Amino acid sequence: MELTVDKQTQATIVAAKGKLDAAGAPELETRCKALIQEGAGRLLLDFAQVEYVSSAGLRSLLVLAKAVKSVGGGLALCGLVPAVRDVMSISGFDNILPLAADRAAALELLK
Amino acid sequence: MRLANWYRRQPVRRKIFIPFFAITLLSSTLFTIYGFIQNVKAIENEIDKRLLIAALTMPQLLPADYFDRVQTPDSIPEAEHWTNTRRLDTFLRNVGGTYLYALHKESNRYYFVASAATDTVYWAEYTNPAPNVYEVQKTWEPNISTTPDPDYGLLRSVVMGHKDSAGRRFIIGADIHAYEVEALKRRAFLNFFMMGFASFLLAVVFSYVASTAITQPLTRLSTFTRRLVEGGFSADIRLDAGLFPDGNRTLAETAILAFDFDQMQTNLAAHIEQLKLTQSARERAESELRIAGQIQETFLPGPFAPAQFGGRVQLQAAMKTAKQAGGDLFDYFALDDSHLLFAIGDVSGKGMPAAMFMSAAVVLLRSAAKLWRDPAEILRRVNDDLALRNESCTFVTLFAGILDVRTGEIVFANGGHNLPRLRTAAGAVAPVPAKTNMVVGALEGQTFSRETLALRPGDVLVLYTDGVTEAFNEADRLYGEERLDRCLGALPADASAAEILQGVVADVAAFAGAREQSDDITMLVLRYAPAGAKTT
Repeated sequence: MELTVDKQTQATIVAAKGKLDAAGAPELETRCKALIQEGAGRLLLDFAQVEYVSSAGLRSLLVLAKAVKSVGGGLALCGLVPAVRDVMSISGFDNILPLAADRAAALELLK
Repeated sequence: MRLANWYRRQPVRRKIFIPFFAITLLSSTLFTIYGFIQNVKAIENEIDKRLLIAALTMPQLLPADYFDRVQTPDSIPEAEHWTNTRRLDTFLRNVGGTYLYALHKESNRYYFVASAATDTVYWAEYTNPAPNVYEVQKTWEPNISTTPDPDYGLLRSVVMGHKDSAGRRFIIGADIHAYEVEALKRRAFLNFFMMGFASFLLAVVFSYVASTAITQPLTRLSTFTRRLVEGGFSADIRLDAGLFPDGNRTLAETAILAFDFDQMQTNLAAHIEQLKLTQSARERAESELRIAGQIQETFLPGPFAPAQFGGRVQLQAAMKTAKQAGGDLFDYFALDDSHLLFAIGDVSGKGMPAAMFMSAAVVLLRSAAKLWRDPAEILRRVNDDLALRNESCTFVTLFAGILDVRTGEIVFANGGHNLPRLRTAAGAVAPVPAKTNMVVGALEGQTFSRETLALRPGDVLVLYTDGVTEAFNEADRLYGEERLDRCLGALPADASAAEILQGVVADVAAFAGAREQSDDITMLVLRYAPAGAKTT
């Protein structure tokens, strides 16, 4: 899992690449938790290059959603490929995580 | 070229020794030859000088008027002659010559008038004079030559003229046998050869010792490394005093090498120790995973009894665990004579935590099912119980359904699980439509929608976990729902639940090929066949 962090004023954007599976999920979770610790309350995950999300990945997203909530921030996802979007809808995660088509729309959701 | 290649392949010690040896051999040979030639010249000069001195000195050894008195064969008394002879002989012995004599010429004949030879009488005729006897008479100057004497053999000879007070010319000669000169030369050659050989031997010994001394630390090092390799890094280089002259790092390259080697060995040993720790940690983790797999299995139901519900339902479930247990679950049990509860689920994450969460989920599901006959309510209860203080956010996707075996009607709720597949008796395959719900155990206070599905005789309901559709092949492709649907559609219409399950598992295995299974593969196949229909 490759992670690229872009700190902007409205939100910290984390662009992920690869598979969010049992191996990739801890990487994303650790990195984002550190960012939240550093004060990044509003987190935008750009999943345009994430090809696959497993249940371990969903769990990490849940952990992060709770973490930002506890600091009064927010978490949004954007750019989901169809396969990942399906996982989100089947698991019901689309009900608790704001999903957007692109970064601009996601930043709107985080306001 | 070949020699150079050969030399390159030799051990260092030989590399040093061979040039040393060659140079010493060459130099000692050259020095021996040069020294010998020089010595031969010196010997010749020395002998010539002696002969000259002998010839020049001879008149002084005789009485002052001796040559004046030499007139006739009787002019010198015999007693005086022998006295002179003895004196000359003694002198000649000291000088180191063979012959010393004075000749008197009369009517082209030559007579010995004085001699160091004790067998030559006064006035004995020299019948066959050597060529230099004639030669000296041209100038009367000292004549030094190697001359063949018809009677006495080859001689190194000095002849010169001597005048008496009346001006008469006598010939004085001093000779030495050429073979004596040769013997001297031979002895000199032998001496030089011995000296050269001795110095050569000394040089060889020196080069051997030197090359050994230079290469010895290297040899020790290489011996040590071999011991290290054979003995598994337990050998201690510091015990080798030859490599650490002062027990420490010195200027000598080999000592530096040994020192660094010691460091490297220390690092390697630490590394190996670390590896062992890692290894044991991994073994522990693996044994935990095995236990996790065993825990998972103990919470799975036994085989479905075909006779239950009068043979109206076929149910086959199987779980193929991955190397790292994934926390899948399935369950089924009769709620009463006509109702069958069945469920399938997948816990997020892997290993021991997933297995423990799975067992909790199964226990909660079973106890909830005893109190509530409604899958939506069951999921709500299980969810709230699991979500309580669930810091790790582990969750389970859970599908639970209750089949009324008399009517074929199913009431179900889906907590974030993959949509089951329905294969109708006609062979059409489609996902079971249902409103999506949140996964179970993640967030408290969720509600789950209650759905229904009516099975008709011959219909097959296939429940599975993402281990099936998300099985990867060697090209990193997913098995996928489409292929699952195609596989289900291609299986015979009268295939039993067991045959369908086997068919899918086989197709997934064929797809994955050599790729290692990354997640548990779990399936539950339910075939509805009402009373009187073919069952198996």
